[in-house]
Amino acid sequence: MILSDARHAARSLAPNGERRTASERLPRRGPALATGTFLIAAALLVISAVTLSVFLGRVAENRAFVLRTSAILRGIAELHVHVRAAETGQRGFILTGEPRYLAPYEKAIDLVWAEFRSLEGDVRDPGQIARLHRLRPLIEDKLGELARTVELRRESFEAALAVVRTDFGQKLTEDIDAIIGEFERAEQDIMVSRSRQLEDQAQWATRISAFTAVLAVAVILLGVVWLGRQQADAGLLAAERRFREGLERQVESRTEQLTQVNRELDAFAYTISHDLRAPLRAMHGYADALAEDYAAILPEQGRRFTQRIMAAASRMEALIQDILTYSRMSREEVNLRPVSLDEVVDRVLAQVRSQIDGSGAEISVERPLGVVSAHSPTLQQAFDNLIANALKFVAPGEKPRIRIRAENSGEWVRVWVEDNGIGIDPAHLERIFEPFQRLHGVETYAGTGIGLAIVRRSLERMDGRSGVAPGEGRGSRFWIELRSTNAEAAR
Amino acid sequence: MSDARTTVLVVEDDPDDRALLARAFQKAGVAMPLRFAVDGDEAVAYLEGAVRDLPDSCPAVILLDLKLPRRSGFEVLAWIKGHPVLRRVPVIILTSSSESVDLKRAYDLGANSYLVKPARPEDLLRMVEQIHAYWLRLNHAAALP
Repeated sequence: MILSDARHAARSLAPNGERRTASERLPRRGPALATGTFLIAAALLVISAVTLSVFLGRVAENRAFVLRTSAILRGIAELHVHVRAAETGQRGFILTGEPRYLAPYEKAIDLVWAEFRSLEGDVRDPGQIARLHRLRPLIEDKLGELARTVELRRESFEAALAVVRTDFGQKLTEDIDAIIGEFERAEQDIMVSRSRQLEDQAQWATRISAFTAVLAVAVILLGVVWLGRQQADAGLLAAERRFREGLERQVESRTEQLTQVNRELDAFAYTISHDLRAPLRAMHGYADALAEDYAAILPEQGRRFTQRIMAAASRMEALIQDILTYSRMSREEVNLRPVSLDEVVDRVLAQVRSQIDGSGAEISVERPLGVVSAHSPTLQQAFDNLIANALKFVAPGEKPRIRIRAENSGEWVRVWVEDNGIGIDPAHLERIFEPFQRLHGVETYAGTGIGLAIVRRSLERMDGRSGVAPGEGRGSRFWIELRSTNAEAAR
Repeated sequence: MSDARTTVLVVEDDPDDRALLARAFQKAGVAMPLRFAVDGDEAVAYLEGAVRDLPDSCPAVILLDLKLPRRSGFEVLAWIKGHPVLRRVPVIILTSSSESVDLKRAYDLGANSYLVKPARPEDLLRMVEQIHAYWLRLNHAAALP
């Protein structure tokens, strides 16, 4: 009874175990999702930050470009001014012949080339570079014309004037003006397009930085949620561990209690087997001695009494033996391994050979019975009781006929022990498997009433089943069922 | 028999069991004298004295009950099997317990045989006859000193 409690305790642990793994599985999906989202958001943040930095680089580049363009525009304007200033100085000198007019002219000539070289250095646009190339010979010619007229004026005003009048100089000035104008317009166009680009890029940079900021906020929020989840998870696990540990401690202490109870039961059984049997042996032994040593002086009545004492002692010995067997059946370890039913039945039949011979019983065994998963001594105990019952419960004067056969249903092997005995009243079919249930008086059929309880308990210990089929006509049909080892192997 | 030892030591606290055992030995026609000890201490004291004074008075075989007052049968068994000389004397456990823990412990401690006290007088007689035939006649005992 105590042991079956232990089994319940063990069984009740199993669903807890399952619930635990299920609860572990559920929140697992949450953190995985959060972690995934968090990682994606972080990756997006990195990508947008890189894009932003690229865009900002372009914006800076464009800004520098626009600044250079305005410098170029200023430079070309200066160049124009210097060319004009050279011409103005030349004209003043030609008109007046006064050398002081030559000072601005000479200064302008130096500045013209300095400015030109600086422009050449700044300009990158291929169109503008071509324009500068076209401008250079014109300026060279113009400066050449100016130098020649200045030289001529030093000799005579007329000679210089004649050169001026060729309008060659004028033509050059107009060409220079045209190209410079063209250059300026082109440069302005470049500046306008670049400024627009700059504006666009600045707008994009703004958008991307806004997006980046939003992402950063999202990542932070997700991070906080993720960390919270992790913490909650850890808390849950810790609580679960505590619960499990508590449970384990409980099981341990319960097991210890049960072990203690079992030890007490052992001691009790030991006491029964020793102390109760000792006086019984004495009763039996002295009655025997009385019958033997004093047979001559005992009257008939006295001899009958001593016989009754010995019979009673035998019955009590059998009862103690059965109680001990029944209790040992519950206490002792039962290891299941493949057991040949044929061998077990053979052993039992060999043990009851004298009884079989004495009663003239016919026993037929339909072989092979098969191999089952069982504990050999326990199974032997069960067959011993079944066969003893079949031999015992026959109508007076009748020869017992016992048939032992097996049915294999794949997973289970059912062994039938059928007899031609007095049978069992259907009303008592289940009751007979309980301990101390007797259907007949001791006078009619000897026995302790524990035999079938031993059968049932021994089958239970071997994860098997036992029962009795309602008899058709006379006789009883008992069966026991154990797992087939073939099925065991298949699993 | 390679030895002059002829007594059987019976360590048994129950007077009825002692009397019935003596009767069974007598009925079986065993000529050897029985020496009784009623508890573990007495058994140990007797054996100590015997081995010290006169090794020939040591028992040929010891029948030992397990449940004894004072020193238990297991303790006596452990003492005998730990003794440099007495450990060669065959010890037959004669008890009413057929618990497997007792069987294991007895053999672990070096018991030479384990018998369960029969309930029926005729079974007891048969057992005594077989002890006599096997342990006192067929079996060869080792010299003690």
